[in-house]
Amino acid sequence: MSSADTGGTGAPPTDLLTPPPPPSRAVVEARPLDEGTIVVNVGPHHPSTHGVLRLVVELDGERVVACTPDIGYLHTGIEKTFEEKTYVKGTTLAPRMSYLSPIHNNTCYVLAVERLLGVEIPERATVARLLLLELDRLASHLVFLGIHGLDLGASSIMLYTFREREKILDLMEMVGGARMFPTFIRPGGLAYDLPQGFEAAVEDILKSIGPSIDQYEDLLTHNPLWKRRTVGVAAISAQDAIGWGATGTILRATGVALDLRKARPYCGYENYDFDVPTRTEGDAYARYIVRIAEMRESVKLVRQALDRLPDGPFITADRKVAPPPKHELATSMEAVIHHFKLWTEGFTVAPGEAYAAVEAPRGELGMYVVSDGTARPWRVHMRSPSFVNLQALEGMVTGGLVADLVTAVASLDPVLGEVDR
Amino acid sequence: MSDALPAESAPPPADPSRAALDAFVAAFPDGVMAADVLFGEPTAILQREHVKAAARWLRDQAGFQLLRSITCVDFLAADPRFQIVYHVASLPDSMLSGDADPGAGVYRTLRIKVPVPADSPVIDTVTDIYPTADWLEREVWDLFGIEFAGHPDLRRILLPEDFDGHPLRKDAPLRYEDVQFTFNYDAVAAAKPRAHE
Repeated sequence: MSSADTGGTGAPPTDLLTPPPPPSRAVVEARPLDEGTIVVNVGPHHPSTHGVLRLVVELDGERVVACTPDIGYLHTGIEKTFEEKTYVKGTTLAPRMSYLSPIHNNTCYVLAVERLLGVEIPERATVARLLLLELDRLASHLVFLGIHGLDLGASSIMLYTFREREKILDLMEMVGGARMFPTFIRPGGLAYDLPQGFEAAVEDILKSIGPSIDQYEDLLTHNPLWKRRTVGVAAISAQDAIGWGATGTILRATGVALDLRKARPYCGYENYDFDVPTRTEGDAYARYIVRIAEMRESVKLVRQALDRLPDGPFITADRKVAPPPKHELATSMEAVIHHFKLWTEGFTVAPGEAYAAVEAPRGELGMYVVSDGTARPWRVHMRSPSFVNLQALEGMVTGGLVADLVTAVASLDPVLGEVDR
Repeated sequence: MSDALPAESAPPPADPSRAALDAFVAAFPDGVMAADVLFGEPTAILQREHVKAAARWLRDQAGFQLLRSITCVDFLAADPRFQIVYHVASLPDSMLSGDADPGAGVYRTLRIKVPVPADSPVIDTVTDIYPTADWLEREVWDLFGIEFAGHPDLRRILLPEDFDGHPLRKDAPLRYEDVQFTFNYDAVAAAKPRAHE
């Protein structure tokens, strides 16, 4: 209201009459409470926030009026750290961003570096990568399923999903020596060859995972309590999901079949037979159904990859990128020089920039690597799906019940290490 | 373009992303400073005055509905010093209706780079065109100190509100905090003024 509106002199100063500006989401803490609403702080330390996510929630009774996520508690400056490491050291760093899908992070970074290197990857490494990527997706979706159930009070499912995930982590340990972060994918191929007994171990997993998924579906898919808590909850339209940049299962649950494995194939996905499951409801139940269906597709992909896993070299023969085999060091001076150069300085890549994107379990994971031609990246940016997807949370929960907030967060399946980086 | 059929020697545009890049260059002849396919990604360098119009054109006319990422690169010695990098994608109609088959419709991507000088690190926001730019731009502001004019809520997002500086700039050193022992307690505490407030 301007002074002209109040009509003439003698009126009190207009700034006292002017109503306060409409409250912005940013200052929800500072809003007066006499409007009948209360502000509740959820997290950062709360089991249902899946890490250290803080939500400032304004409630009118049980209805959510506003929800402001507050993130950054797990910020590690990983993008800055990349600039100080050689390209090979970066492969150790990249998986640390997301502790539930480390192989995807590892592969995505390596794909970006390989694009700058222009190096050919042996067939065995490509197939092994795809196999490990799909096992990684299975492990990640198993965690989603277990924790989602736990959040909604279906606690028994977690025991069964973690049982299967344990087998996959055991396989990762067998392959790379570490359960969570094997760092097995390297520029040019794999760190070393797949171990003896690998095929049998994958067969073991394949034997048990199919019946296990049936078991999860028996527990949840037609469970009336589960459907009451998820059907129609935290729904989002396809248009909103695209506007908020949401990708992965959140977008596919709204009917949009964006899957980078089909749209921009990498690691030879174009040669495999698999479907992209979609639903049109866009709610938490649809996301659950899509993820269950994706797990079945992953099993199909692992089976196909295992059947066509060829023999042969596991890393490129380009000695400027890949270290020479140990036995050559005893006989070849050239091998010693290559070894020395790689371990002291690292390889250099062409100046330029590459953006590699993979379909991670949570959506599009992108790595943007800028090189200045030296042995260290000039800049690495990680487009993490959890960070972008989390923006859609506010629209999902506003107007809903506070109890559904937990469902919404769980169905987004955020990894806070990936959100905060 | 003449009304004659194109010569037989001219091949059809094999790469659909390349065609999108050419259309973008044709739509902003004054704004685009360079355009090429770099390591498989069609890339255009755009003057910053045209960012908003370009974003609107990309979303409404060219069908690039999805903003994949916004980030910044600091080329310390170069002039202009910063580059804001946008990655956008266009989803074909078949994909929007649930068909993932790449034969049914082509998924196209484009990268737009916008140089921003160090003495006025300001660029127009695209939040009113792509809502997802909200957090992405806040992140760039937080870590690089690039101001997005017109952004509704430009606050730090990853770092604490009282953080000094923008750490992903190249002139921000990599630092660590000394471990506080009894013998150096005061010296370390003096470097953390806010710890005692």
